[in-house]
Amino acid sequence: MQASIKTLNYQGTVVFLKNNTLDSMKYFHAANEDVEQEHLLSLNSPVREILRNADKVSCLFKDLKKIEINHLPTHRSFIINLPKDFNQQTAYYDFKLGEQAQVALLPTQVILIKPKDAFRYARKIWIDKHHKLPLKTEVYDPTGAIIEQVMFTELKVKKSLPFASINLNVAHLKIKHIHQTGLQALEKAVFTVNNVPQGFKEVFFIQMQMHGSKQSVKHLLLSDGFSSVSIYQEAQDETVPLEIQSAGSVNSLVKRIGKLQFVIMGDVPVKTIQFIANGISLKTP
Amino acid sequence: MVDDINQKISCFIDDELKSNETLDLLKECQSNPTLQNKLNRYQTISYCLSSKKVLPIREDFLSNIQQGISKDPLYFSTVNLQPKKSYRTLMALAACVSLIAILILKPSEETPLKVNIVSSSTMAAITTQPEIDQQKTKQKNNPNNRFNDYLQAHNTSLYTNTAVTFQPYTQTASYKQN
Repeated sequence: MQASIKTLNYQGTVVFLKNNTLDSMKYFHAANEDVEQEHLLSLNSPVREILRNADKVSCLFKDLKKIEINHLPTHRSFIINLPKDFNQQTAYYDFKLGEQAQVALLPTQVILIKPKDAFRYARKIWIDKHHKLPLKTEVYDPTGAIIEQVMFTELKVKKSLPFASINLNVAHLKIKHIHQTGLQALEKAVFTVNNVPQGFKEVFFIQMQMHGSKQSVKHLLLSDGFSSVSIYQEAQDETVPLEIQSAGSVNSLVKRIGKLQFVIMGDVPVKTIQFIANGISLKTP
Repeated sequence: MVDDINQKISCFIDDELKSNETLDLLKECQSNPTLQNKLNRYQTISYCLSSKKVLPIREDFLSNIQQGISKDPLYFSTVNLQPKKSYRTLMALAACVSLIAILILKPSEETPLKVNIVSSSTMAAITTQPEIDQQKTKQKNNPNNRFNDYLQAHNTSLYTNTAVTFQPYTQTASYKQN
């Protein structure tokens, strides 16, 4: 499935149901040897066009005549993010074959992914039997309620697809670059994370600027392959609420230590966020 | 065609159908379960109407239903929508009165009336500049914008999801419980 996602050329319509909001977009995936591109066009307002070339995501807001170019440290798909090695995941998840169903008029095989602990969400993936592409994914909260859905309503696999580009030569176009590439060694961090659920590993530790200012924020990303948790270290700000914040599958918690504050955010249950937050402490000099 | 059969059934129940037509209708009913059901239904209705029997309903029938509805879980928070008082009519009336007063007074005055015309854009700038500043500060301090910044750095879902609104977990948890 991973190889199909990256190497095939396909296009269709995708529906994203996240945070109780439904968004439908035209989706194009072009691939040529090791190079891949995701191209999305929103079908509803706000009208926007999104391009992902490896780790660079460009989003053009057509109404606002604004383009945001986000230089991410790693590349992530808009449809699904999968672990590199499924064999390692068997320690934390149970994988079972589910029913056979039809999605976007294509026959699929359902894979049930159930976590072995309460630190992660359960998932279901509908895989196209012929092309091995994920046509539908569902994420469930600990009570079993669906909290996130991504689904192709139509899909065509092509021999080739052209690589798109966004025209930057538009009059009065505002260009905003978001750089998140100041990679750092985690050993140099002023804090330690003592509580990390099994299977979660460091993806990157970077220094970046945030909140439209020159405020320096350090960002540690942990992932178990399916779910990820971010820890942001920044100067204390009283305006940020301390209570747990939620948006769909994403939960967030703020912890203040001395003059610093840590924002723990992830697409994981609240329990995981609290567990990680409780284990954050400052290193002793 | 359907109306014709319905009429025949009705006539049959009222004993107004001829014998040969009755036989035809019964044969048709025998082979067609839908028609048979219809015949039964018509007969039941006819019986109820002719017998003039009234089914007694418990006195608390309506109140039970109302209680049942009130116990139903509410999935959306109820918002008390009160119509906003509109001062537009009053303002328009006041403007008309002052305009008429100016027009009436103008010929009697010897000196020409000096009117300082302020462009609408300047007016807007005067009245809304503090508001704009306030809005900017609010926007900067808005926790939701801040959490969206974190989310943008965390994953790419902010691009595919138009309205990401962070809410206190206690609110969303109680919403789910309801």
